[in-house]
Amino acid sequence: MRVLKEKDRILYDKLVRLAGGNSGIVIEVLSNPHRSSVDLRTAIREIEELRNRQSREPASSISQAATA
Amino acid sequence: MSIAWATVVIVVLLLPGFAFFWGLYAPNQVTREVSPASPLAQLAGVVVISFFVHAFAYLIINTKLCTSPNFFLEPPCVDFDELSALLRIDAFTQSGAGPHVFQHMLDRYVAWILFYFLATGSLTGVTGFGAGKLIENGHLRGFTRHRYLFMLERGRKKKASELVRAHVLSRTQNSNNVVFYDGIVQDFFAKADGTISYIVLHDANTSAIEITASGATHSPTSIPLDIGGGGRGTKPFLVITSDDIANVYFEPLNTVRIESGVDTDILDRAIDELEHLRNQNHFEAAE
Repeated sequence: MRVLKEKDRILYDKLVRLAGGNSGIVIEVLSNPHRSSVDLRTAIREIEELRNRQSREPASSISQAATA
Repeated sequence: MSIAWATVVIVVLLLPGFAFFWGLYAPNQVTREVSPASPLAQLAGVVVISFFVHAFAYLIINTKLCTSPNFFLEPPCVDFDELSALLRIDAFTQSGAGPHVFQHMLDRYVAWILFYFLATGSLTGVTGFGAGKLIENGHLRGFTRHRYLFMLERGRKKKASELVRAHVLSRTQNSNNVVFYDGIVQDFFAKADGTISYIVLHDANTSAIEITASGATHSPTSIPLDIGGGGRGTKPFLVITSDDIANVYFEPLNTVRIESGVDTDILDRAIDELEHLRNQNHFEAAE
């Protein structure tokens, strides 16, 4: 039995690409227990926010280590 | 010869019952795959349905249709004596019966016989299809054998994007560590009793669970099985068979609503911008 539609797979792969290849970000956005659905624009915004936050965190931790 | 002929006639008489079950399993793949849980019970169902359909048709034809002089079709009455003789083909060639009785009867009524089976088969097939649709849509819950299978299939039939994530605890282990997989469910097959046959995961990750006396501890990171395979045409997938599955936790993710085509354009543009920026950074770093 096919569960995943081809168009859904393409959309999921695009979201993973938007998350910089980190599928964990996409899963985090799409597994919000406080909602059952999300519109694509909101999902894009949340993925970009998480991606940018995660890319800043390693940089800040490196600079903190250098200061120490 | 007579035994084989009687078998052929009985199979033809059971056609409405077969048509009913064909219609019942047609609307969805779940019941079609899981249906032969009890072939004997299904055969009994075929016989019972066929019996009642023929009995009802006999009642209608012989009491209403063939006796009504004004009915425009004027169908012939069902001759039960000839029908019972038909089961024993020898009866038509026995002494006392003319040699061409069977052929004569067929030549005369072949169109009516074909129409009868077409009508009863179509009617029961459509009835079965309707029952199948009711089961699929959550009605007739008593007839739903394995409801979780319908939950998995529901997302595929929705217009919006609904993904299901699976967390698979495997049987592969090393001392206290058990291999764990997670990914988006691509395909799923169940056995007749509802147990998992195999599962196919898209974008699968692997991790480990350590089982100790104090409980189970999941490893903090999971490793994607597809490393650097973004450029391939066919996306890789993981197949796990029932031999390696201890249990599966299915997690339906948030449905992604696409309000208009503009949304997908925004997504494409955002990806292009991100990848362009990355290429630019790589190029600058190389210089």
